[in-house]
Amino acid sequence: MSKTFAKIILCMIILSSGWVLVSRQYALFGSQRREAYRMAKNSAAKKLKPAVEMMAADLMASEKTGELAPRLYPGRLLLQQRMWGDANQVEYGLTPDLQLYRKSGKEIKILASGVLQFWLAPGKLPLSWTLNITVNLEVAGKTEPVIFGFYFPPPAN
Amino acid sequence: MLIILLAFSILIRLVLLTHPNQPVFDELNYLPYIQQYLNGTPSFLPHPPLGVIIMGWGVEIFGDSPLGWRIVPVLMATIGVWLTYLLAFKITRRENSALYAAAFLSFSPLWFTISRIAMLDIIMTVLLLGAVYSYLNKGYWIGAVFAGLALSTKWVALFPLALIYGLIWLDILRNRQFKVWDCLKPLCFPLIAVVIYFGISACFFKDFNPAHLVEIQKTILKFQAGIKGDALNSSPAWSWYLIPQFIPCFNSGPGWFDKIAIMENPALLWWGIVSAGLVLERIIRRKVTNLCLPWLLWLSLTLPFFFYQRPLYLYYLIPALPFLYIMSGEMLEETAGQSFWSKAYLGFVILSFFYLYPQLVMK
Repeated sequence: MSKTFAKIILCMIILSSGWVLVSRQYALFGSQRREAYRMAKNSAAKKLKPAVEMMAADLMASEKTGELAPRLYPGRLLLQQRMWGDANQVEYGLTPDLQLYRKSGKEIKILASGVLQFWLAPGKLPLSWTLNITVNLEVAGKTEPVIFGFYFPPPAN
Repeated sequence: MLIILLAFSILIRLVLLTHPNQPVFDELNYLPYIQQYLNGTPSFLPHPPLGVIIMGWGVEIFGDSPLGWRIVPVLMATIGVWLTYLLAFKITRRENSALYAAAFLSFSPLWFTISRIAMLDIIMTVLLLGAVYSYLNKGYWIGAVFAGLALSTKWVALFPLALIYGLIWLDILRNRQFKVWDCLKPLCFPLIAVVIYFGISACFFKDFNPAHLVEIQKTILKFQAGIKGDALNSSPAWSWYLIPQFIPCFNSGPGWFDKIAIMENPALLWWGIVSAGLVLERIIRRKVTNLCLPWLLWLSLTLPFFFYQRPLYLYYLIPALPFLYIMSGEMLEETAGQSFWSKAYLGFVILSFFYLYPQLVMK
């Protein structure tokens, strides 16, 4: 490649990447805030509940059979795995702020803490919200409701 | 100039390092492991444990605080810039090319953001750079140690290390060094790496039973192989070099300055791809052999992701960046030299870094 051609390519790269960076910043702070909020709320209720139910069932099964030793299979990773299948529209993160309790007062062994964060596709704004999902778990033949609390943004330390 | 670049590199990383003062992004995954390790109750993690051990040193010195969590990746990232300069200079023998490579890495938004988050990628990359630099200086023993350390941080180091191992044998065959001592070096290379790998794992878990250690590796493999499907912000490997995706990783409000983003400057990646093409042309047509190493290393850290059946993220590019930017620096020096366009390009890279800076630090 001639040096002149290389310089032309450099010029094109500078111009086009400048355009990409500026336009992307602009798109990030666009006007779709309300729609994004509505979508997040709907998808939260629709998509997260089955994922959490699956995770809870796994946790219970593992407690009974001992197949998944807590030391070798932390619950937050299990939760991530379960989420990926269903949460196409949302990204999440787990922080130590999520309190996951059984109503009986006995804390679920594996998943100790975390908070769910919602992120929307580029071009839509992240949100602030709280979401509680109640899931019934069967423990030793009894059904117990468990509240999974998700809030965003996580409270500052 | 290098000292100024390194000083600046560490300074911009230290500014606002403790902000946000809560775990962000994958810190949410790794910090509990660090805390458990420091409490003497290490638990299984889906990667080899050295990264957690090293980041634990930061927590031990600076406490369980944002500074303690993030100081190690910051220092490692700066060492990475320095090693990239040394590697580039060793390969190209041109001061300007080496400075360009170091500057590209230092002002890479992706390298910057990930270096301020307690994650494994930067640590593994710097250990890998150490192994490559040792290999180039014929320091096979120390290279084997770095190889073991890199592998003990993240498995993705396996591809470039296998390549280096092949190159060591190739050197022996090419130079017809068939004495016992010469052949012993490459034979010991993987042995030392494996001993270090399992030694670190055993020390971490305080479990010296080989069967258990093998079982842990199987569990990691099973876990990693079990990650399937799509996730938001994941993107296929080919797209990284076309339009690198923006990954929001922390948010505290709706404003521009309230979020941290993981992203890469397209100008760096696009020139990187052009440079990789130019380097290949020089290797094939002009028999320029000195650039084979960064080209192959870059390929070994890029190509495997094209075959992964799991969600992939832009920051998986991290280990390939130093090698890509070594090629970029050399090609910039060769094609544009000291012309206006090389300065304009470098200036654009630096300016766009500061343009993005508020989103890289969330302030």
